[in-house]
Formats: sequence, C-alpha cells, structure tokens
Amino acid sequence: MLWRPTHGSLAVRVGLLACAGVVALAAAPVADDAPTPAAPAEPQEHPADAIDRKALKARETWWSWKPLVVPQPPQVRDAAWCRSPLDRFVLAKLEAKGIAPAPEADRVALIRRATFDLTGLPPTPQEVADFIADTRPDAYERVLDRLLASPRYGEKWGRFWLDLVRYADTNGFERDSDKPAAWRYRDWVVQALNDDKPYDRFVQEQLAGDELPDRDFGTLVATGYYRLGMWDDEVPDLAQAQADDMDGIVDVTARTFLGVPMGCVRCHDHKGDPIPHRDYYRFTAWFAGVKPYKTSPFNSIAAENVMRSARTDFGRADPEAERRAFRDERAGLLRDLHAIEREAGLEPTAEGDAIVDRAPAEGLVTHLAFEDAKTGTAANRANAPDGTPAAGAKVRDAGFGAEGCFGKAFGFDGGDDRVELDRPVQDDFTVGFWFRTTDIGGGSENDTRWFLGKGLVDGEVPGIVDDWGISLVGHGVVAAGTGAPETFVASGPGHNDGAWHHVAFTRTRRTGDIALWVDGMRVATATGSRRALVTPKRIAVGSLQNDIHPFAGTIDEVRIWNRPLADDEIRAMATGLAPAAAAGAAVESRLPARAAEWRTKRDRLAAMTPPDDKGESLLVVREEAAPRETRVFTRGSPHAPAEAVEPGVPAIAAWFAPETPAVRPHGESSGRRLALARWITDPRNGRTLRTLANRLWQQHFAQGLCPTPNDLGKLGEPATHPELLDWLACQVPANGWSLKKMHRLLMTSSAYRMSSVAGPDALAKDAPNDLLSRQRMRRLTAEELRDGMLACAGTLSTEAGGPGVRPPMPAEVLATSSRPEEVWPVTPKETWTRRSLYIHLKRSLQHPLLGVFDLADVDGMCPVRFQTVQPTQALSMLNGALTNELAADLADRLLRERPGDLRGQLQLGRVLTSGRAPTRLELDEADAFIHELRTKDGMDERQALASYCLVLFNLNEFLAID
Amino acid sequence: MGDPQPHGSFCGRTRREFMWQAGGGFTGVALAGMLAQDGFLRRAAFAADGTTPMPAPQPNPLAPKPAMLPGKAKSVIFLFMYGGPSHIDTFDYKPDLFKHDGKTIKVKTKGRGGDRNEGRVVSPKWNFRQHGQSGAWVSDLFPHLATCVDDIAFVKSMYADSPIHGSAMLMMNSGKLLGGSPALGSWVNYGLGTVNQNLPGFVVMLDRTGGPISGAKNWSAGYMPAIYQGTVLRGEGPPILDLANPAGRSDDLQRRLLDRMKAWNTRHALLRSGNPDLESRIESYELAYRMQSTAPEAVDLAQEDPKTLELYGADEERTQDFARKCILARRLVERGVRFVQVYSGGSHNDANWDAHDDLKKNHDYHAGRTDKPIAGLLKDLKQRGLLGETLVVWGGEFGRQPTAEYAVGTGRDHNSFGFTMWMAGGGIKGGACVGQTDELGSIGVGERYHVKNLHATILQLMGLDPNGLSYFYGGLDQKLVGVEPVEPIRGLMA
Repeated sequence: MLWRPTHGSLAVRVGLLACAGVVALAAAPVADDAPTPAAPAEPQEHPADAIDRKALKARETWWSWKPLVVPQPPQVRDAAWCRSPLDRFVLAKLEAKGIAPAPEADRVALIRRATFDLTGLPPTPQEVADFIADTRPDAYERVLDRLLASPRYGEKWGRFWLDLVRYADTNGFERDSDKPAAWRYRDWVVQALNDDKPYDRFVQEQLAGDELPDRDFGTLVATGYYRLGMWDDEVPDLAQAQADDMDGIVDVTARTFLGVPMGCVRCHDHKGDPIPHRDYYRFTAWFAGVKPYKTSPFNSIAAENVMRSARTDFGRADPEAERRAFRDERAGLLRDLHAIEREAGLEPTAEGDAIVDRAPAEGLVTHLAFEDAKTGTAANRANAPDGTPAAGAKVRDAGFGAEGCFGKAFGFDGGDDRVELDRPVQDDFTVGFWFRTTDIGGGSENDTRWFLGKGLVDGEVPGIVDDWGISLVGHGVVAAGTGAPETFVASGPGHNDGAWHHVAFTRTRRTGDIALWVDGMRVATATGSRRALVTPKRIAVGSLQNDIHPFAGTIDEVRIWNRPLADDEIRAMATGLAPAAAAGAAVESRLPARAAEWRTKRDRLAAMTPPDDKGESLLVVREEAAPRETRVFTRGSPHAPAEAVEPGVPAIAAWFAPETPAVRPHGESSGRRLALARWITDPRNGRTLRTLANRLWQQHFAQGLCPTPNDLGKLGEPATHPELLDWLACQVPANGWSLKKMHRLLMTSSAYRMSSVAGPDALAKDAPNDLLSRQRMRRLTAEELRDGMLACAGTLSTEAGGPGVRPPMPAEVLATSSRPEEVWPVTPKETWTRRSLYIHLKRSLQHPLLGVFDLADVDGMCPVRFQTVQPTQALSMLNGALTNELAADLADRLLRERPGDLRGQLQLGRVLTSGRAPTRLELDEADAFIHELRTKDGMDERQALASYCLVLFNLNEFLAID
Repeated sequence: MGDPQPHGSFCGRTRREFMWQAGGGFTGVALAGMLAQDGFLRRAAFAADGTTPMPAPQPNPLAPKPAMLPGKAKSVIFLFMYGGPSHIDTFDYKPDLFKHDGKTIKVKTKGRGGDRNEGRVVSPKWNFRQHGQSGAWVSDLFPHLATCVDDIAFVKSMYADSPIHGSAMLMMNSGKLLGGSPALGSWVNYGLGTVNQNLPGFVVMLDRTGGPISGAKNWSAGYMPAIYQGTVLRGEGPPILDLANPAGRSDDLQRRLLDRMKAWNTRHALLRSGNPDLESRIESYELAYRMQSTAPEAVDLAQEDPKTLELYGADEERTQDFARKCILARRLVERGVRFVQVYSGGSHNDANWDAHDDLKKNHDYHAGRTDKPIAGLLKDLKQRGLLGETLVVWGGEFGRQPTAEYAVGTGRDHNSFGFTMWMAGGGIKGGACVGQTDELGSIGVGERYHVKNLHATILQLMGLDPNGLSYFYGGLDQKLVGVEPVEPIRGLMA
C-alpha cells in the first residue's frame, strides 16, 4: 500500500509534475491556507537536466527515496518470540543465519536501560524494587508509561534534538557572546516533547511557526531554530558570512528532517545522490525571505532582524482591544474626576480639553517653555521663577511657534533642529516634558537602550560613563537610563500615535533608583549608578547630546527639578488633576455627596498601569518585505552569482510538489517556509518518516538501522534492515505522529528487551551485531554521566527551564579563555546541581567532564555522539573535583539513609549506582576495602565511604548500560 | 611503505563517519588497538567465552602510522605570535617606510577599521641589519634570533582570508573561517598517530594572561573525536587538568583504588561477552595511571642543566616564562609528542601582539620576552640533533599595516594582504626566503602564499599528502587545505 490513500487524484498530478523534473514555484498573492498544486514549469535545457533524469531513475531504486509502502512482516519459525511485528523483521534475519536471539534481559537491566533511555537518569532503588516485585503481566508497560509521563523525558530527548540542530547559548568567534534568549528555544523543545506534540507539527512550528494560521507565543519561539548557527559579529566578508549562515540553515534542515546532506551541493553537483548544484539554491530559495543575522561588516549583530518581542499570550489575546479598553477606562475616569473637581472648584469651569498646568515650583531649576522666539534662546521663561535664561541655552534652527500642549512649543524636523543647554543637575533630579510625534523612533523595540533611540532630552556620551538620557526607541517606546553601569528603563510601544504624552524621568543618587513615567503612570523602574552623573557637560533636546539621532515631532514644557518628584506630583502634572491630598480635602468639604465616588475613581486611576505590551524578547525568524532573489552561486561563492532560481525540491525527492507559497495574512512573510514545512511533513514524504524512524531506533538500539542517520543516501551506509525501517516509518503517521507511541512501540518489542550479552552463536556469526542478535550495550552520555552521579548522590535539582546556569569551572579551564576573569560568572549555588541540559553551552568553553565524555561539538550537527575511551576520562573521573565532590555527597547520603549500618551503606551505594543488589562476596570485599582505608590510611568513616563511592562511580557497571 | 590502510580512512575499514560516531562502533576502537599491542585484548577475549576469538580489534586511532610520503619532520613546534606581529618591523625590511614616515599616502588597507584608501605612514621603530650567510634582514627586535637566520626560511608574501582576529585565528589554526573544523595539530595526529601513548599527541601551551580569543576552539578537534583535540599543558603546577591526585591521596592509595575498581570491573566484564569496550575502559585507567607518572617527568625542568636553562633565558625575569615553554616543547618532542603549539600573548589588546596603539611598547615587550627563548630553542634542537626532525613554525594570524590606525600614535591595524612567517628545522632549507610584499609592505606581490599553502607545507614536511589526507564528514572528504588541490611552498623545502 502506498502512503497516499487520501490523495489519489493529487498523486497523479504530482506524478506528472515530477516527470517534468523541475518543480518551479512562483510567489503568489495572499491566499488562504488550502494547498494549491503548482503549475509545471516549461521544460528547459539545463545541465542539471541530465542529473534530474538520473534522479528520476534513482528514486525508483534507492531504498530511502522510494515511495513508502508498508512491508509485510516476514514469516518466522519462532512466532512466539515476537511481541510486535517489528520483531519478525529482526528474527527472520537471525533465523536465516541460524542464530538464536539473546534471552530477555533481567528486570534490573531492563528498568535501568528503559529509565536511562527515556529520562537520561538511573532508576531509583525503590523503582527497581517495585518493578521486580510487580507480578502483573503489564508491569513493564507500566514502567514505560510512568517514564514517558515524566518531565525528565523531554530533557533527555530534547538534548538529542538540540544536538541535531546545533544548539548553543553563544555565537562563537572573538567575543563568543550570548545568543540572546536562545534558551527559550531549548525550553520549547523540552516542552514540545513532554507534551508529545505530534512530530509533523513539531517540524512545522520550527520551520514556519510564524507562518502558521494558529501561531502563538510558542510557535514564534520554535523559529529560534533558524538562529542557532555560529555568528561572527565582525566579518571579513559580509556576503560570505550571510551565505555561510544560510548554508547552515539549508544543510541542517535537509539533514535533520530528510537525511540528505545538502551542504556538498553548495559548490558542485552531488557526488553521490543525483542532486544538481542548482538544486541547493532552489532549496535555499525557500528561505530567501529570512533576514540575515548581520547587515554590516563591523562589530555588530542585527538584533532587529533576529529578535522580536511578544507577550506570552501572543496569538490568543488581542492586545489592541486591551489597549482600547484601557484607554477608554482611563479617559472615562479622567472625565469624571475632572467634572467632580471642577464642581468642587479645583479647576476653571470652562469646558474643553485643556488641562491645568500643575508643575510644582519646588526645586525647579530649568524650564524651557518655548513660548517666544524673540530672545533667540529656547528659554525665555527659563529658570523659573526669576525668568533668567537657562545657562548656555542655544537653539539650532527655528522650531519655535509650533502648537503646544500649553501655548506654543518647539517643532523638530528630524534634521538638525535641536536645543541645547548646560547640564543643570547631577545627583537627584526629575526631567519632565510633553511630546507629540508620529516618528517610529530609532533602534528597535527589542533593544531599548536609550542611546539607540531618537533623543528627547539627552546627555549621552559614548562609552560606559556617568551619563543619562531619554529617547524615543522603535515603535514608539519611550526609553531612558543612566550610565556606569548602564541601566535602562523603557515603556511599552505605541507612543508615536500623534497625541500628546507626558514623560517624567526621576533619579535618586543615594539608592541609584531610576523611574520612568509616561502619562502619569510609572511604567518602569530600575536601580543603577549611585555616582554623580557628570560626564555630559551639555544636554540636548530633540537629539542625542552627541548630535546624532534627531527626533521629529513636537516637544513642550521641558522642566528639570533638582529632586525626584513624588508620584502624586507627576500624576497631577500629566493629568491636570490637583494633587490628591489637597483635592481630597476640597472635595470632602465642598462636595461630600460625590466624595466616595471621587475617592474610588482617584484610587483606581492611581492603580492603573498600561497593558504590558513589552512582552518577552524572543530569538526568532523574521522575513524581509519580499524574499530576495535567489541566484546560483558558482562554486558556492556569493561573489559569483549566476542564474536566478525559484524555490523547489530536488527531482529525486519530488514525488509530489510542495504547495505554492502564499503570503501570510499578517503580511510578515512570504509563506515559503510553511509550504516547505508542509511538504516535509506530508505523510507521503517517505524520506521524512524514514529519517525520523531511524533516529528513534538509533537512540533505543545505540545504532540506527541505517548507521548514518544524517545521510540515508548513496554516501551513507546501507540500512541493515531496510524493510524494518520502512515498517517503522509507516507507523509514525499511523500513530498520529506521536513520538511517545513510537517509543512504546519500540521498547515493548522483544528485540529491545533482549540482553546485551552475546552468546557463542552470536559471537561467531554476528560479532559486530549488525543482525541484532542482542541488544547493544552503550556508555552513558556526558550528560547522563553527570546527571546520573547527581541523582545517585541525591542532590540533583529537578528545576526545569530558564537561562543556562554556570556551575564552577576549574581554574585551568578558565585560563584557556581570553577573559579568564569574566568568561564564566558562576550562578548561585542552588543552580549547580541542575541537569546538564541547563548548563550554559558556551562554544569556546566546555565543561571539562562533559567535554571529555564526548559532548557534541555544537559548531556542527551531531546526529550520533562519539563514545570514545580515553585516559583523560579516567583522570577526570578519578581525580576531578566534581567527581570527588559528588562521591562525598553520595557518602553523606548513605550515612544519612543507613545510619550506623556500614553494610547497609555499602549495599545502598551499589544499588544506587548499578541498580543491582551486590552479592555477599562483593559486600565482603567492600567491607574489607573500607576497613583498610580506615586502618591503613587513617580515614574517618565519611572519607572511607567517599572513596568507596568514587570507586562505584568509576565502575563500568555504572558507566555502561546493559 | 607498504601501508595496507588507505590514508584518509579511519581504521582502514571504512571511511564512513559512522565508524566514529555510531554507538558501539567506536567505543572499543580507541584503545582496543593499544591493548592489542600487548596482547591484552586477545587474552581477555579468549577468556570471555573460552573458545571464540574476537574480531580483529580496530587499530588505536593514535597508534603511530607510517607516513604517506617521505617526510623529514616527525614533530611540529608552532610558536604562535597571537595578535599579529608586524612583519615590516621584524623581518620584512622596507627602507621606503623610513623615508615616508608621517606622510599621508594612497594605500589600500583592510583591518578592523574597515577598508581605507590612504593613511599616514608609520616608519619601523627598529633598525634593520643583515645577518648570517644568507644575509637575511632582521630588525633589532630579535638580536638572538638574528644569529639563527641560516637555519630559518622566510615566507614574506603570506596572505589570509580575514583581517579580523576571530576568523583569522580559526583560519590559521584550522584552515577555515568558521568554527567546527579540526585544528592543524588534530590533523597531524590523525594522519600520523603518536609514538608516546603516555603523553597527549597534541599539546598547547598558553600565555599567562589567558588563552587567545575563541579559547579552546583554536585547538578543537572539530568534527573528529575528542581524542585528537589539543591538550592544554601548563608550565607550572600539575601540567594537565586532573593529572595529579586530589590533595591527600597518596600514590599508593590511588593504586589501591584502581586495583579495587579493576577487580570489580573485570568480574563485571567476564559476564558480558561480546563487549570489548569494557576491557578497553579497564585498560584506559592503567594508561591514565601511567600518564600520571610520565607527564610530570616530561615537564620537570629540574632535569635540565643550568647551561641549557641559560641558553633559553630561563634564568632571566623577562624571558623565563616563554623560555620554560620552549624547553617544555623540546622535551615533549623528544618524547614523541607530534604537535606542540606555544602561544606568545593571550587575552586582549596589548597582552598580545595586537599593537593598535603604541607599536614600540607592544613589540618591545613581546619580542623581548620571546627572542632569546626561541633562539635558544633552535640552537638547543640543533645541538641535540633534533632540529632535522622537528619543524619549528613562527608567526601570527596576520601582519600589520604600514600606516597608522589612528590620527596620532604608532599603532598599526591588522593586515591579511601580506605578512611574514618563518619555519626552521625538519625538511626546511635554512637561509631560504620566498615571496615579497610591495615597497610599503602592504600586500604580497608576485608569488603569494595563502595560509593553506603553509598548512600544505607543514603536512608535506611531516610526510602527509596535503591533498590526500582526508576525513569523511558531512557528506564530504574533508581536508585541512580544502577541496581544491593546494601546493606546498616548495621554495622553503630542502
């Protein structure tokens, strides 16, 4: 049966398309989500055509390209051995060679194997005991169900996935700086696996989470997939660096999901599979809209291209409706309160929008009112109350006379208009002003450092110095901050709506506290420098102080006080309502009937904060307004562009065509990636299913049925059991793409449950175990080793998620960094025992124990971990600080749990580390060993036990899984 | 040579990367061959089931392998002048620069400050003199090295793909601008193995101030297994991480811990036939134990006579640090270590040769600390008859521009268009000089030599075919020098 039962008619069309050899796609206008088959392109003469003809033949014959057909499980003599149809495939080959399969592993081996395989951790002694005692026929299945439901499952399998997509927390190269918010992608992977997100959806969210019709916060995070490469922040050749990053995306996508190494086709026609050079670029064209991580050769990363902010309820909530509701409620409150206060005689009785200027006089040192251009200064009412001009005030260009919030104001044209004056404050201060603009602001909402924005009132001086400023950042964010250490506060977006907004920025030197107020609401606070802010000699209005980033819009009533104003004072200024204490007394006495209402509404107003529009900062894919043209790069060089190409898939894979991309309704992307994602996850795409099935098998049997999991093609190794692989691949969609069901399917088989000990037959006839005459023993991975020791010692933290942690690192390792003092700021002690998955993965600085036990090299993909044996592993395990500390922790646990009972301690240590109860002989030997340590070496009880525990951690029985 | 195994293949069995990667495929590999040398594995295998011999164990990946080609050098000492020493202030004599000092002239440069078309000439801050039979020009920065020029061959028209430290370091060390590829030292060990199993085959010694930028990426084995990666060796204290027993653990106790482990591990393995990795792991502890006594001996300078220490400048404050490292380098190659890399300079800014601000101060400092030790190394290798089989390489990731980086001062920006490196020893034609830069030293002219040519030369001199030594990864036969054939620098070779 072919895996296209519901697509009969389409399959025919697809077949025709495929014969054309080329599946060219053109960008289409906005369309709904229904897949539209592409029109076949005109056949053309092209050097690639000859290769395509070969491809059409090859895909009929090469096992991994053929359409997926459910194979009939073979007949076997010992049908009773087979718990699952998959066992028949294994047994048939063994029977053909006259090899009996290994007997079932004992229960200790089974639960230890299953627990490490699914959670990366050892079973607890209780879990082992329970399993041994459980006589129900489904005792083993119950264990599997328990393990699959554990949150530790996603942490184990997430690590495997992260290896494939080359996840790291840093960018590499000279600065090896942090990849911002990459950890959210890691957490998304863990959660997706724990939730058993169907694999097709899992793939689609990573490739096109932003293009899905039901996108949400999580699907945006998933597109962090595109941002995991090495990023050189300072490049010799920008085009090359961009092409290299794109190559990473293309190659990882092709290998991870399809098992096709596309990277070689970058420079020339594929040497193994018939894939023409051109098709690398057609595949690249699916990603042609993806904004590059870097747009200038100088030291920078284009944050605005790779980051976006989104609230956790993105896609579910309607922020615009929330903002509207907020605005409406606030306007209603203000209207009612003004009415009451007018009635109480606190405001002039005239109706209208004008509000009373409530700016306090106490501490006011500068006031730029912009009422009159005649004096040629900005400040003809400066330095109230005496009216002398602001010191050093200078005006560039003629912005006077604009319509103001109170009288006239100063209009800035976004060119060289600016007002400047001597800085009048340094310690405690408040800066207040009104502004109105439709200017989007400078920089981006993802990077709200004030000096990236357009200057409102500013004292920026480059470098880490004692300065401050207030500016307008991308999408109408008001940002402010102080320097040394650089500390920032920012509002939400949207203040570029053409309405007047009041801004106040307060600073208290003694505490270093800064606060930003917009429209009388405190929107952000932070604690920064406690130094006198004396670096800027001058401050500027309408531009940054160093004469860059000019603002376009109107500014009015700039005031500077030499004290932080009180909340009520700022609120009064922004709303025109009288300060609350005085107003309260007046309303109580003059208008007692409305006093209660007044009080309620005033309290509500004071409590209101704007809806949190800022959201979380995410590492995501973002697209250009329109995809760039994709050209073939001759010999892979971006400096030798040749013919233009459209998105397409190699003929060898084109059993059916991807849908035509449709620009997404939100207008943020071309829809190309979604079309590709749907093609990859179409149940007719046998290559996707085989690749996945092989990876799952590999993780449960220590080697894939095809031993080269990233290359199921001609340069890879042939599959040992291709029919079994096809059968498994067919089970994926049949099980609703559920990975957990696939684990269960594999692990309940008789094949999985075999012992790893080779019998004489197996040794003679199947020494390399290609026929699966037994299970494969494997060594713990680096993470399983460290986490396993922590679990045995009883100190493993199960805290999940969040930014990477940095447990202590040996000084010898820190010394290899160019910044030994700063490279690895250790995180708080409670983080040191978290799972290795959560250790900050820095490209240039590996944890030595993890490194020596074959941690993935994250610069490239790692589909299979090495399992080396090296003397340096022995040195780390015997002499390393971490292992010795954990051995001491384990000794403490034994003393705690079996107080005063040495043999009980020795017994428990063995059970914890191996799962198995020691024999009497082993206990006697251990006893004698301890005795010797106590008497000959003069160790105390704990020291001797710690030495015993160190031995236990070094035993093969701990390091190897039967 | 009769090497039955095709080179560029791992273990002569298959070139497929899975051999390295597949679970179970590699486990036994690394040590099994090592063990086979003393018959251990065969004994163990027979013991395991009593009748059936195990399949032939895979060779140890670090076991010495016959060279592919006749090569004179057996070891490499790469003296890495990190930060980029100025070629025009050291070995590339440009008299015109003295004439034009301070003048602004048209010259194309590309450095961290970007592309420029003109700049203010900064004359060399040291005088140049000719030395030796060859008459090689050396500036006064290197009075000691100047006495060795007849053993040295210079390449004066080197160029690289990047004038930025991050990518340029990766290029000089691994041949690629991107991370993830094996270092030169990894390639040499992959191709030749190492003759002393008790010491790492690829050793790196770092500056006191810290590693170079990108740290361990510079000696990473990339896509090869970690057994080929560089091991950082410290000049003082326990030379290798975790080599020494923890405080308070005697050697005798260590031995008894090992014995306890071995007894239980052996019993465990006996019940698990068909899993040779278990024996490999047991033996790896014995190897580690041997390393614990071998490695400290290798770095014990107390065994050196005072004259030798003096020759390197180990008795002088200024030079003692680099002198120690040069002596260690010699002791390591004497003991069969294949590839030793010694960094002059670490960290950032003026802690290395990256003279952006005050050229005089920077280069006086770094040359002053390394000149005598390096000269001492060459002389000592020669007097011991080791120079012929030890290839010494000197240079940084790039050179420096003839013009000033800033409006004031003598600092020079990076220059990857043209710079100097030199080699001495194994297979090198002493006194040779190839290539040149233009009259300002801004760019190589005529025969130019890429970093890949340098790498090809090193491999060739080590008896490895630069265009034949490959490792299958990512669907490609990866080579240090890349896909296109690369010629070694013949003019340097004896």
